[in-house]
Amino acid sequence: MDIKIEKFQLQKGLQKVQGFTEKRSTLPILSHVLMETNGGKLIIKATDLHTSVQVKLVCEVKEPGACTVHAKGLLDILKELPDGDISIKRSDDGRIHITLDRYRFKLNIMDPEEYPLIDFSKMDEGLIIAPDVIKSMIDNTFFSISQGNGEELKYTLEGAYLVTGKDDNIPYLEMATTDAKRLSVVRYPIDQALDISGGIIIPRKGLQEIRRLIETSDADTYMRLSEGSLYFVSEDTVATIRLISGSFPEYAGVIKSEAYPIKIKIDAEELLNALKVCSALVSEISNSVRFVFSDKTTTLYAKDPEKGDVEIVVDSSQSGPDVDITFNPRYFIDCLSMISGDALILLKDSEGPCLIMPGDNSNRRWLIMPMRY
Amino acid sequence: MARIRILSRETIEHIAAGEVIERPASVVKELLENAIDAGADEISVEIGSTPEAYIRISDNGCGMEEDDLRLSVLSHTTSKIQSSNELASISTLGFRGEALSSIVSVSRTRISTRIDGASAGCFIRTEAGDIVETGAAAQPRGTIVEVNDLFFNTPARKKFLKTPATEQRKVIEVISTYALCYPGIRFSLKAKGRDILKLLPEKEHLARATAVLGSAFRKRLHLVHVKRAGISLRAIVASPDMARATRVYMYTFVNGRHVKDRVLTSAIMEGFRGHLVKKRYPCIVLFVDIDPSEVDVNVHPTKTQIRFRNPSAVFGMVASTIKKTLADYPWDRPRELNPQDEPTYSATEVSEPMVTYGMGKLHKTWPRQSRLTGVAGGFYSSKKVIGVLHSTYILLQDRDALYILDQHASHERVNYERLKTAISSGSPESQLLIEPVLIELGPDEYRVIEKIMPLVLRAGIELEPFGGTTIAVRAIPSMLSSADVNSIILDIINKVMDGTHDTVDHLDDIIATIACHRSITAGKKLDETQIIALLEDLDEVGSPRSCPHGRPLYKKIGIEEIERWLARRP
Repeated sequence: MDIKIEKFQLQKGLQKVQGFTEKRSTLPILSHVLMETNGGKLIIKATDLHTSVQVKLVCEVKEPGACTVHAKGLLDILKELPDGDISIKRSDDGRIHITLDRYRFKLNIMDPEEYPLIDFSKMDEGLIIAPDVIKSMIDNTFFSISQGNGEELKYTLEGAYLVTGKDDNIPYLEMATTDAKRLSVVRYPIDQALDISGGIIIPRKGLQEIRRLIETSDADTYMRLSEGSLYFVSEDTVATIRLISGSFPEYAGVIKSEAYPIKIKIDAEELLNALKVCSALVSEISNSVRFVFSDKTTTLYAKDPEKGDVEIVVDSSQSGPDVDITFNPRYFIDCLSMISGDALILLKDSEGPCLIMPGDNSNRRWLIMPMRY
Repeated sequence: MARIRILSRETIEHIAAGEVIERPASVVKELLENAIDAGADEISVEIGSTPEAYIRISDNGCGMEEDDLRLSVLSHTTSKIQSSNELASISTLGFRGEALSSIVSVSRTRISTRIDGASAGCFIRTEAGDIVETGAAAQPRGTIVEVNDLFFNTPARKKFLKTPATEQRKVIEVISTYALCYPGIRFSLKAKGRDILKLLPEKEHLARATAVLGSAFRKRLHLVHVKRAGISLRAIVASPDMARATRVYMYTFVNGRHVKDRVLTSAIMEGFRGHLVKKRYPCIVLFVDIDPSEVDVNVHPTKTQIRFRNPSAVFGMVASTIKKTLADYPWDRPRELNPQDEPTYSATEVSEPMVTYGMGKLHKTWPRQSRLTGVAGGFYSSKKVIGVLHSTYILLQDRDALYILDQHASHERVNYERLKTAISSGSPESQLLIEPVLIELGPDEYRVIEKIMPLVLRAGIELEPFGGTTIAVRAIPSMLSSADVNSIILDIINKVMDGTHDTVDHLDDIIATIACHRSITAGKKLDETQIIALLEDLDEVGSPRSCPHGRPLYKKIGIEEIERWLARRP
């Protein structure tokens, strides 16, 4: 293998894929990327066996071939180098020689034959979805993914649940996440039917990487969802997440707005700011804010035994009796940040769950459980 | 024939004696008290190869006149009080008038004594309480009591004695105990003609404590003195790393009397809580001086039990003094090497550091240099982070030592303290779960959890029986993740089942378990900002030195020690 490539291109490509490598695995090769030539292109592949990616980069191929190289190691070097054309040559001593001007490196590589096979063959199957839809779904739900200690991996709660269904014969795709204390659900209508009504789980890391790719990519991209995988496809990049089948708590019943007799309408931004003030005061452990919802106002009370207390009144309109209830302000802040304009807060009583949705859009719903003394 | 008989005088005396004199060590105890009450400043004890066969105690106290000597061996005779009115304010060790007569009634005894100024002394010899011989004796000022053939007339009691080695150990314990309390008195013990103990008179308790407890305790003891609301407290606290598996090194004295009191022991344990590993007991010598009318010593003939009129005041004061001392951790400060410079307790107050940091002779040759780190203040945050070992141990340095800090234990302690504060301020709100987490338990486990449910609730975990032996977790402290709940509950149950959890301390143990689950694990890589945040958190919760289970947070290796390893120093 002997190629010449613009340093900046290589660095950008590596940055894209580096997140997909697995640094802590017992398989050292997963911390490497696979570089191989294909026609006039250099293809860089990375995988942690669940999420995989490949980027195609323009380069000058003098001699085709393949190698693996430690992703972060190479990237750290590239970051410090000046711009220019870089030449990468695999030598017989089992290393690659990297040359740029007067810089010469010899890096150890691993046998490319041992690199796990990445299968992108099904990228042309399944339902096409706009990347913005997936991004919005992730943004609206990511915060309520359970953050376990990592010791006891529960995919169900450490990922997002994706499910399809039909509402009034219009098919939809729904993403839900929960950490058992709150639940986020986002629904999008889709044009054509796809049946994953059994539901599948997208692991947290996959969500993060896909979101990063969407954010950094150009316009001409699309996503494909099939039963087993989610693909991200752009001109030079393909990424895939292996989806895991798993059960998710039954939530349809708790997010039905009919089940909530008390309705409060409040300006999301105003409430958000008030809550930020409260949470600046309360400590990590007694992280709670008391909400008193009444006819025309919502009053927030927060106190910290060591620092002091705060009371903030926010205008709101309400139907139903007054409610005095305590919540973790963090949970409210997370979902209120996703709402512009009015927010609708639905309650059952002072001990039951609370359902929040934007005033003008019931496709995004957040359920928050109260706290009690 | 009548079944109820009046017991003979002899039998009554044997029964009474049995309460006071249980073993050779009790004889030594009673006679030591007499010697101390007599104002002696030199007491020597000698025992034979079996302590019950021969005990001799001589003192240089005030001695007795001949008439008094005859009376002294009778029961309920004493020079220490005159009427029951004085019982309310006893200032001598003895007062019941039973000790000597009890000893005499179960042994063959010879007592010789001479008062100051008398030309000759006198002696009395008794057997089973009866006087067999009296006469004049040539002897120095003071009293010598020789007890032979203890329990010769009560074979049942004799059978209960342990091996001579054990009995001898008990005698040593008694002498050590009084020696701790009376540093000014010279004590010596000889067994089978060999010197076992020789304690020179000392000016203050700390020096005596080091002499009694052994050289291992050198520099590991700290004396505090507080005085409040009629109670004066002096405590010689040993560093928690000197803890023992038994309570032998917990010495408590009230008004100069050695006592075994639950209030004091539990106050000590409370003070040490969080500093000791389970089933370890601290080393401490505690002196409580309190108005004699505030305490009742006349509870039991051996006088080791007492009753405080206001136990909670004593409890609170002892516990908080120890806590403060431990928080202050005076052991780790460099001290003057010269023992003469060791502070006496009149100069030491609990809130004041004993020797200011870095002023020791050790450092005179060390160039003064500015702080290695910008962070000012706390014990931990003032040290410079120099690295992390195996992603588990944070390495810190200051001018004179290297510190190896356990990251998991440290974080655990921080979480524990915060959770405890939250609970004591009454606000550990629980976060309700959307769906209860169900935990299936074995029948034994279920019984355990049922019993401690209210305590678990106080820590913020709300449980509910779910039929059968399944338990539903309805709410958890907001700091916990629902993924942790299962393992926490099982962990708590297991600890209760193996008895690692003390029954009194369940709540604390539960908090510790929760804190442990919430803490960063060993092997997790922390970046520098996280490490600094952890150090600052540690200082914020009072710079503790041990994890909630009592394991130390760090090991300090002095630079001198390193220099010795590397042969830079002789």
